Amino acid sequence: MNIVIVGHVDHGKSTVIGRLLADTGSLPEGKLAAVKGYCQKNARPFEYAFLLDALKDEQAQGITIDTARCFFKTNKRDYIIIDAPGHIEFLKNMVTGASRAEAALLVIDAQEGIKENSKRHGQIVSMLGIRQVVVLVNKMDLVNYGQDAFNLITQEFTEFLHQVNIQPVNFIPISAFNGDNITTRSANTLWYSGPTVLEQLEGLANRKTTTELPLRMPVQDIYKFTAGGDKRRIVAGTILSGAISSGDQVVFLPSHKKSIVKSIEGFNIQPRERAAAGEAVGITLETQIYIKPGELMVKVNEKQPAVSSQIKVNLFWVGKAPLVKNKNYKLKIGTTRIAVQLVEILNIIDATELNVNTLKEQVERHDVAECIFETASPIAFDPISVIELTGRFVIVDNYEISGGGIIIEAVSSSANPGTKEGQVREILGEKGNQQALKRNGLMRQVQPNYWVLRLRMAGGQIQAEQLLKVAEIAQRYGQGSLHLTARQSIEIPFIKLADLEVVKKEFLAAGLQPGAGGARVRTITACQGSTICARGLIETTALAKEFDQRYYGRELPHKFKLGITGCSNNCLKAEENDLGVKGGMQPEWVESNCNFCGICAALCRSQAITVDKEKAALVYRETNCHYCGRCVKACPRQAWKGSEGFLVYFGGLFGNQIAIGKQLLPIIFSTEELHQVVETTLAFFKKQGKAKERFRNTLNRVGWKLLQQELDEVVRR
Amino acid sequence: MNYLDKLEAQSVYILREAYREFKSICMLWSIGKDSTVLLWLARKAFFGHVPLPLVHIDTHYKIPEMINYRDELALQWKLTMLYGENATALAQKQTFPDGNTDRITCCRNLKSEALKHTLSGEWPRYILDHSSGQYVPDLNREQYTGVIVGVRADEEGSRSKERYFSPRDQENDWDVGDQPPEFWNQFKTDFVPGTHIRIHPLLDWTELNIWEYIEREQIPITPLYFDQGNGKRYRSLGCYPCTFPVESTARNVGDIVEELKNGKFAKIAERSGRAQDQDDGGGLETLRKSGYM
Repeated sequence: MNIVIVGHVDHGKSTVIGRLLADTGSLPEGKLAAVKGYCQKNARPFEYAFLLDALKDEQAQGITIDTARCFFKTNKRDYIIIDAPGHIEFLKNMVTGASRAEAALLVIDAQEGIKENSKRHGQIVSMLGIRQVVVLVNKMDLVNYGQDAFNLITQEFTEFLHQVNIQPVNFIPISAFNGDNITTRSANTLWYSGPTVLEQLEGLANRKTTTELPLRMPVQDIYKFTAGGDKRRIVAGTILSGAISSGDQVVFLPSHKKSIVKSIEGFNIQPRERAAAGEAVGITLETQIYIKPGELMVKVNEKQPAVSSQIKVNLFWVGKAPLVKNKNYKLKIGTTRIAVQLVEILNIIDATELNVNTLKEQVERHDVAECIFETASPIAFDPISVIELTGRFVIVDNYEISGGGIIIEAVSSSANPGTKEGQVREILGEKGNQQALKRNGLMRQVQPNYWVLRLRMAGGQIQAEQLLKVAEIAQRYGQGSLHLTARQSIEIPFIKLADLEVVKKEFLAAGLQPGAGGARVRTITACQGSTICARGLIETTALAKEFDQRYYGRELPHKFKLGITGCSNNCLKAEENDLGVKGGMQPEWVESNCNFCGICAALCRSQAITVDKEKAALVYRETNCHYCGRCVKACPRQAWKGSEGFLVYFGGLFGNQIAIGKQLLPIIFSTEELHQVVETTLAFFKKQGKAKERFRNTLNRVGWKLLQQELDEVVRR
Repeated sequence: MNYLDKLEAQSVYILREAYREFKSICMLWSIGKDSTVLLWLARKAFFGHVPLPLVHIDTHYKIPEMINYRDELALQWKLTMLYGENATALAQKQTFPDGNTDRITCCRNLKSEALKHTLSGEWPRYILDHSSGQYVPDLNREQYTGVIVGVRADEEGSRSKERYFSPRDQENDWDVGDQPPEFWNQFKTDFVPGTHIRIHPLLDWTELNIWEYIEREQIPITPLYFDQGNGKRYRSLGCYPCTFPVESTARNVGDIVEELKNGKFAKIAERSGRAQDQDDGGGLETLRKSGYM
């Protein structure tokens, strides 16, 4: 059984363990003498803690830095006692130790009383899912073994523990230094009739096996070792809860692929038909389905886990850098690894006072917070109250595990599409989790309880049938009116949250989707382009669809507008977008066909061409050229050859601030190269941008050159 | 599940996690009981296969029976068996038995340095050719970024503070004051290029657990651990100049389990027969910080 010792710094955790080991005769022969000798040699008083604080730095500073395992054994069972540091600076080591434990001993100094980390550790122990907590009131010798001091701490701390959902098993008055009530009942506390520490340890219950819960087995790997003619394809993993037998129908989530268990595999064991919680097993399947490590295997006929990409969680943060929004982290849950972003901070809980602070914009080191995360694609899990082992996760930031937490519930889930208004309201709060709503295309309107629902459209294109459907929805769920947005989309005002899921379903059936607002790539706008417009040089509509597929809704520090215009007439105003694309045509003069008639020079609007009829001379200045293609189209003798391409403008703004996008690149001819430019730009903004800062302002802050350099690497000049 | 079942399941989970996360991974096999249990656990994890190479650092001061036992098992279990060595230190006799260094420096030369350069691929590695039974130079010079090691937390102080997944920097150094967190069963599987991770599946096992498991699984173990008739046996195996047998009449695995449970060794530290520990002030922290296992 693994037991962790926690509590405030200097309250005597290591001494308790040292004493326990010494008094139960669990120390190697000569170890006590060696440590005593070391203390004498270094002219310092002997402390039991030195038995545990094995690192030289720890002994020098007299504090525990890292968590240590100590082993001891009674007639009843094997124990691993985990000594956790109490200093706030080493909180991550404390959590590391505590997360391995089934029970906790929380040490409080009788003289100093309840301190900050007594509470913080209590709260974290609760979050880690440790239900058995024994409180040791230590250093009773310093308060003359007084019952009043003991009762005061017992009363106050019981109250605190109740607040964090812990029912303490017991409070024991001890003096680890003198050995009172560690392994033998002390004559100094005759008023205390409960068990000693050792008796209490023996009385703790091992964690219940979880075989009665539904099957949960995260797929750790799929093995096909062919050596020696082995033909088995084995799905390997550790069963977290429930049991599995051959013949069971199983489903893998989130892929929803199904099969039947053919056999349970093992090495050097008797053949068997069944395996249960806790075992690291392998199974083979009746059918060959393609599944990946990270999926969760469950039984078809048992309660299903949640599958969702938005989760509400409680988490503790130990990362060196704070946890912030709009940044990609890695989430590890079970055997799944997936990209994740912080969407919303609901509360930050001050561990020591249990005060709630909702104003913070980031989660700092050692904060405990309630927040909403969004994963790159849906994950399978159980809320912590349903199955503990599948409701825990860690967050990796810059190669380091920087936080850990538990999932309270799914925020919006593909597994439970019937979300009702009350539930939505509860999840989002009355003030609203605006970000989540915006992501789903909803905007608050002036009238309370009504929302504007925006449609996802690309290039202002919609089928007549779809438009009928939109009209029908506006009539049935709205108030019969529509609005055409400034950027080529359609909005339906007066939608109720309760109807949202139904409306979404109706949209989906018609091939429509709600649009996205907030800090992400917005509606792609486009003119009709060369498929319809005689002036058009590029197929803007098709390009808008591609852009929509590739970039729409991508999370960024701020809103990001992409617009495509077909030619230099600029109906769609490329330069007002964060990234604007304009169709262009690069002319090339074919001298042999030219009779120097001068039509091209007369039509050119940028003085890029001058013709001298008498001297039969033509000068083309590309630096002046707008790539409008007039010369090519007008020439009666094919003396101008044209190549269609894309002109790209960066950093346009047309709101409170107005600025025209800058052209940073020469004309581009391939669509693939254009996509590379867009990808590079979005990645650049994601990396360099700050929340609430438009792209242009990012460029102004970090320097346009930085983007220019990255673009130059993509586009061969 | 009994306690040994739980230890086994946790070790298997760690091994599979390591195998999944590291493209280039190996397992150290010192031929002793712990790393042999580790090898057995790999066969458990991978259903009879050992899909990763085993690396032995040969100090050339190992007890000769150990090498024979190594090669026998390697052939029998079809292992990808490699060894590496510090050829320079051996040639220049920069060793304790040659009288040119102290024990700690010898350990550093023949083990830590040899290990570092063998793992990185800078020094030659030799691979067992199963058709001839001989070792030939290994043409693969890739660096191993994951190294599975059979250390146990109960062995000595600095090991009691280890992580299951423990990063080492480019110089193989261990920053013991700032170890990565491990919450529940999530370990450090992301690392800065150039660094590597040591994986410790046996951390929670005690010496007694190891022997109980050997007994249960009937794992073949080198007979050096048993009394050979002279009332002496090895409790811990290392290089012969620094490893001394203990007085014991335990003739088989069952005797050893009994001896550890109730007999004369119930309270005597396992590594008390290893002289270099004493030279390091009673702990291995100094050696381990710079790459010792």
